[in-house]
Amino acid sequence: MTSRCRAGQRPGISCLGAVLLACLLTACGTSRGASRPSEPPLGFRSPPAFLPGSAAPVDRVVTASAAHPQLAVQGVGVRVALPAGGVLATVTGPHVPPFVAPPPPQVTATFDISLARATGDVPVRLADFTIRDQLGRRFHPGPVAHEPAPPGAVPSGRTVTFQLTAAMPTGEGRLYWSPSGGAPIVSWDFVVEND
Amino acid sequence: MTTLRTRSRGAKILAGLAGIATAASLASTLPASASPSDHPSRPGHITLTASGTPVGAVKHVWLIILENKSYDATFTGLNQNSYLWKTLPSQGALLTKYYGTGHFSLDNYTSMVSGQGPAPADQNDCPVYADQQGSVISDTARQDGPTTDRGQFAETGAPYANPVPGGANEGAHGGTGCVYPAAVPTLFNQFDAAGVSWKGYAQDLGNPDATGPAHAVNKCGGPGDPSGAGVTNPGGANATDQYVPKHFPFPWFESLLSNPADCSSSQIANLDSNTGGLVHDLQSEATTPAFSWITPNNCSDAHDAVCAGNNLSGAFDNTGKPVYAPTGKAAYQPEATTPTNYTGGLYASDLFLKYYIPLIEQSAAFRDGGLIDVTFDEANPPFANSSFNDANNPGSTAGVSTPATAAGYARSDAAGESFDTRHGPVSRAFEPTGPNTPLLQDANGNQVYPGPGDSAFIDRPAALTGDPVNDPMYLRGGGNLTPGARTDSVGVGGITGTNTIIDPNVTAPDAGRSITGTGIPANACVGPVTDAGPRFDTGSTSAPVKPASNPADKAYVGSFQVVDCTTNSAAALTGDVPSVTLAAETSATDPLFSSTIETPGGGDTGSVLISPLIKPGTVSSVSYNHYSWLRTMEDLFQVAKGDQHDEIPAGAGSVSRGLDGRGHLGFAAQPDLRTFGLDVFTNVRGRGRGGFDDGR
Repeated sequence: MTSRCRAGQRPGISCLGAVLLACLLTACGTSRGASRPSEPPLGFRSPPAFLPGSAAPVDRVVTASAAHPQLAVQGVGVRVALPAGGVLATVTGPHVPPFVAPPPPQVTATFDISLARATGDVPVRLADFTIRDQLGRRFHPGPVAHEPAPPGAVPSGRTVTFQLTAAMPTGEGRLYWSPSGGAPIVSWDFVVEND
Repeated sequence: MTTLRTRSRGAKILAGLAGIATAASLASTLPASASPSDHPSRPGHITLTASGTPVGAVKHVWLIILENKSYDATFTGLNQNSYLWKTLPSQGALLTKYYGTGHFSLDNYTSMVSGQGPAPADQNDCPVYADQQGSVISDTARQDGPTTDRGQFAETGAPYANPVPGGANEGAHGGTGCVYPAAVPTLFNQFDAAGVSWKGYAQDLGNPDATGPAHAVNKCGGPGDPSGAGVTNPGGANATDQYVPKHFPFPWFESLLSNPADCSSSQIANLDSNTGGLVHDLQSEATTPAFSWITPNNCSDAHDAVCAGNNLSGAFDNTGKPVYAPTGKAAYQPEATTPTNYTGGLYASDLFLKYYIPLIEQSAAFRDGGLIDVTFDEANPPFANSSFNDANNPGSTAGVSTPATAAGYARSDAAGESFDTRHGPVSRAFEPTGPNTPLLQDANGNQVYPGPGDSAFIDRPAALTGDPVNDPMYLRGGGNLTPGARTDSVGVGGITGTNTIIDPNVTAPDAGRSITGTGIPANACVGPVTDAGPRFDTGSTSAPVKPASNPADKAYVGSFQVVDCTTNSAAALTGDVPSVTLAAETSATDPLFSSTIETPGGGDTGSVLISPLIKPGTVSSVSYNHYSWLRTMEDLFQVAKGDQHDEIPAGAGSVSRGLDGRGHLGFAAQPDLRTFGLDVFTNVRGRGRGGFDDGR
């Protein structure tokens, strides 16, 4: 329940009194949230009425396809639809080495890639991953030395995780994946920070 | 319960305000239909701030500052429909052209709260926490122009007090220190004088440090004593303490450090303190400061891509809602719950915002003239509408992009300083650099070096004919300082008949540079570059003897394909290659190599503001920057009414009256600078008519 003063009514004693009464009747801002851990238990009321509800979808999993490529942010899975199946692709990173002074012009940026819940065999080719930085410069990430190379495909129903790395300057970039070998279907925006 | 400190002189000032009918130069008096009892002005009129809001209408501000994301990265296109991109703008106003004022971090914070131009060491995030040496410029003859430096702090011997050409302190990395002296006032000193309560909250402030030097030693959150040689300033996070001083403005001013009350626990607090943290203070309007500065840690502010510690991901249930009172854990302590992952970036900042902003919005203080402001220090990279790399030619071959054009960048004047002003897009300087970072212009009036501040990501020529470019007085580029010719010989190898050269020093930006040397065919260029790694046999500091397998001591294996410069087709080596000489970078090989290209300063970050005084869904494309923000805060809280009128020093203004007599410090006093106006505060008129619905 939300208590409101009538539109146009100035907040005055009568209005505030109504609010207080309503709060007492509904225990607003006191113990209500204590039994509902997703809501604040003490000292807070419901959001002000003038704030719109969250109509926009947040944190939804979107589907990327050749017809509808998607731009993603790290840590959020994207369902990649392919002609012969699909996979939930998630990229995190890049990991960068600890800061050293003076800062080097570029650092080794390593990305964690997860390809999960595959339906149909999903091909994994290093050449299908490319990086372009904010200046349009292209990078070709490679496997991490001394680490097992990623498999050639993600078998149906399986999850594959692997790392890719490239030496990059600080700044923004995008990691592209073109699992069909043509235009990228999904790309991830990232920032390389070395401090 | 903590009671906010209100100084007696402030109370006196506030009492005095009750009898003021008009605000003279600070505010305008306009007809309005609000009840005269709302504001102490003459009947039928209310007094408005420069923002167009009634004086006193904004009673509480929460400034949440995030890190290093461009407007494009934050507010366009990303598929996860983030809370910051989607939900928050739907609740308030999105400023699509809000700019930082420099690079990399610290200078933005110091400029925001003091109006000072950047100091060189601030631009470099202050590797050594030490006091600056110098004085405040008080030359009143320079007060009227937009390029005046009056009121700015000039380092001793500035510009570039400690330049060592070719050395580590060259250019933007020089200077005498980074902590401004007591003669440089801040917004918080103005608040003190005006009786406006304030508090600085920092996530993880005072936490124990798992590794490295302590992050917060002095009570304002600095890493130690800045006097003398100073102390090392830790720039990165560790597992238990992700607070970094460079993202908290308070320890960078002696005007605060030297006043114990300003660094007391009632003014500076750990964000999650259960005795003086944000949630504690929000429980009652009486304990909520008028102004709250909130610095998330290096993870929650989107700085780190992979967090060193907790990213709050454990503090949400399966539906994505924050769990404020988890079973077996203390309420409102999101870091008490083990995270489910360590992802940083905008993912982490969304978690932070989704946790704390609903609490602010549900507080009594927010309903009573609250204003939430979510912003970033700088855009990294700084370019508006090109941060997804598509402004440059994506169809280029051999890794070479066509030169970028000015069309994709923010407008600026010939000195690279202006973006927009109330009198036109380029009529007056808007982001001056200050006395410590002068900009050199070439014979045509074009800015030779980027500005303002250490504008990263711009490459400049190593020399221009006829210009004193090697004069250490002038700021060089923040990108490649000397993109001249280079010969690589250590670890270089190539075999006759192949088209690949191993070169540990080659990097992707080298693509397109012409190459010469033994075994290299005519008209050859650097083609696609591969830097594979990491390799773990580097010498580094712990192993000073470089292993034979890695003579260049690189953490990656570098190589490139040799291509014909004209056709971009692979070109075979004519002999074994022992070394290679790369020609100087040119505009053809570097998309941002130019002596004249405009620079967008700290870059377009965008900003979101939420308030009962703002209609949900408001979008403003008016250009603002950090100096605009400072001016807005000074106006909203009427700091000019404060009682600190002593000149500091003579001719450079006072704490309360600022540089212009109207309460604006430093470059916030630029005559043409905008304050957030009715394009932002879009619900003011509704309130004046009595039709305002604040949800009570």
